[in-house]
Amino acid sequence: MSTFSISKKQQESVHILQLHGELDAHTAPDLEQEILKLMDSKCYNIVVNFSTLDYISSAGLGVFMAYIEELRDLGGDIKLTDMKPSVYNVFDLLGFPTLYDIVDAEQQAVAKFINTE
Amino acid sequence: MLIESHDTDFILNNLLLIVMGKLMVPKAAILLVNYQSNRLKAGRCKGRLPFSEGDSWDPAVKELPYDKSLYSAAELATQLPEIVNSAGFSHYFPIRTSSEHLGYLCISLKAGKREHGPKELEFIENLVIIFSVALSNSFLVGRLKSTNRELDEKVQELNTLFDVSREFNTMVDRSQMLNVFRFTLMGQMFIKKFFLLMCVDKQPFMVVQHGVKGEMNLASKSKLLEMEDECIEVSSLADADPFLTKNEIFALVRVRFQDETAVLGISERMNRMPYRESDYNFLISLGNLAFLSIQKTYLLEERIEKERMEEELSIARTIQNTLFPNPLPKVDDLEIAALNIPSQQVGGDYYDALISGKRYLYTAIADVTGKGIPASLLMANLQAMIHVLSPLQLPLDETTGKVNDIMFKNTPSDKFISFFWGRLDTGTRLFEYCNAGHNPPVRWNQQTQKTELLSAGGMLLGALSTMMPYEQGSFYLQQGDVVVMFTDGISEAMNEEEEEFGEERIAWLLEENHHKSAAEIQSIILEEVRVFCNGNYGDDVTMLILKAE
Repeated sequence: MSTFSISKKQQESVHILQLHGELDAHTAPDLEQEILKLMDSKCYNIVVNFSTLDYISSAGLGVFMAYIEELRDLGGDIKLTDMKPSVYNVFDLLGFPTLYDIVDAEQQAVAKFINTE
Repeated sequence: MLIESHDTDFILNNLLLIVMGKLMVPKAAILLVNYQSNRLKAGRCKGRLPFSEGDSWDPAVKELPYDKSLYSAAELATQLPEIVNSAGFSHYFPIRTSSEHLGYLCISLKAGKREHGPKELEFIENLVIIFSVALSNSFLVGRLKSTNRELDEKVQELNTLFDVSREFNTMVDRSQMLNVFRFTLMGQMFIKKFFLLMCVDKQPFMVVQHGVKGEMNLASKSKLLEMEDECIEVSSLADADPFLTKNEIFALVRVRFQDETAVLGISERMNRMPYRESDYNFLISLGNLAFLSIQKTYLLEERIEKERMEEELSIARTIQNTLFPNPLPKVDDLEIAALNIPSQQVGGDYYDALISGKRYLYTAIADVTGKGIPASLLMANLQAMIHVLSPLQLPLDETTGKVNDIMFKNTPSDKFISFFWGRLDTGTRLFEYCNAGHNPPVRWNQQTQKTELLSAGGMLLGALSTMMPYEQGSFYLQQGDVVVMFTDGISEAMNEEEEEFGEERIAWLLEENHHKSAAEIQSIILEEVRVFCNGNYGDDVTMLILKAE
């Protein structure tokens, strides 16, 4: 079975989720739980750092799709950063770059949130 | 540098700039032909022209000539679209490789309408040859890239299907499964509103819906499940349900396995990309996987439910067994034999034998219409009443009327009970009885050496409230007398010719065997019935036999 874990940190109003391992149909619900938890506690500025994510499947991408509109309606966003080329390729193939803010580095994404406040 | 560049725009732009600069041409354009779409397209344009970059037309593309290295405007006039003719080009240089026609470089006369010299035209001809190679290469690279990307997309789709099927195989929890399905639709296809409709317990049911509001009525759901095409766009439906249009459902995809159908409804994609045929194929595959796995969970639940029911039934059977007298009471100079074989786990037949006030023996036999749990509930109800009433030593006829009134209130209109009960005064041997619509028990009268039927009584219990009082019959149970009470499981047992065993056979068996013990008579009758119907009783079988010593 795939291994997956999430570590969390916070920088001012921005919550950063660091994903580790493999995000697939099996582990997608873990990420969903984490995002729901943030939304429940009214944290809408979310950065997801992919630097230690080795693999992502469509179901993993689906989690982002499921909440992006709601988050944006609430004035927040999910920004995606530090993707390995293999992971970025999946996002790119499925056309995510047109819908998502995908940036190179975590701090760049954090800065974007803070500067627009 | 040009030859190495694979950037089509860069190449086209350069070609135009070189030509325009070198020959001082105020208007120039590159027209590209596309054999697949059969169109001629303005690739790059410079100068004041009646069309802009990206415009395209549909002349007979395959007939556009490209044998020569230069055509005059007049030579091509009949074959080019009017708007191109009107642009004021004077020379058309075919851009071509040895095997294919890529398009034309079109130029006007020099500024001030001056003619181009032959050396100049020759230079352009040569230039176009060089550019043709570069352009052809860049097209090839472009095609390779897009083929590569298509391949990558296919690989990604396969990975997704693999991922999902692996996940579905290990899951038994339906809600988890539906979550994976939901995420995959959103992640792979960018679909934000969708539903999956399938039959559950023969009823159309939305097993999953996301982003849609409201409900579709049952008739529309059933109709959807009968759709004949693999894919249908909702806009092409003549009478689409408002649920579909209101929720912006764009297309319906049919998923089929054996005779079962499910329908996946999908909205447009969040990235506004149209659905291609390959996308529909992916959706069908994913839908199929989900459909099968979800069905599997329902079947599993059904099996668990069935096992639970069976366990409950077996508990019910245990309880019902305690309602039958065990052991049978012992009365001096009287043999009692009884048996009950339910055709299902629990049954609707009832017999009883109980001693009341030391002097009286009550015996009863009853048959509730129907079988299984509903019948057994009524049987338990009747048993309770008999046990409460018997110590009171009330007249049997009146009491039967009261029991009927209660049963009438307790039972739905299609449930009845045929009931016979008797009370033996063990001192005087007086046997009083009342028969409420039950198969009349057969008595062997030792004195007359004949059988007689005990039918005094009235109508079935539970059918109507008591209007006519019940009658009661009585006789003295003499030494050697036998009373055989039975239910229709005995009298109506059928043989292969669909003949019933019949009461006459019981009476006849009794005549033949009255001198035997109650238990022996019982075994003989049961064995005869078993042979007669070849073991297929078809109904609960119950008997109660009294024999006076």
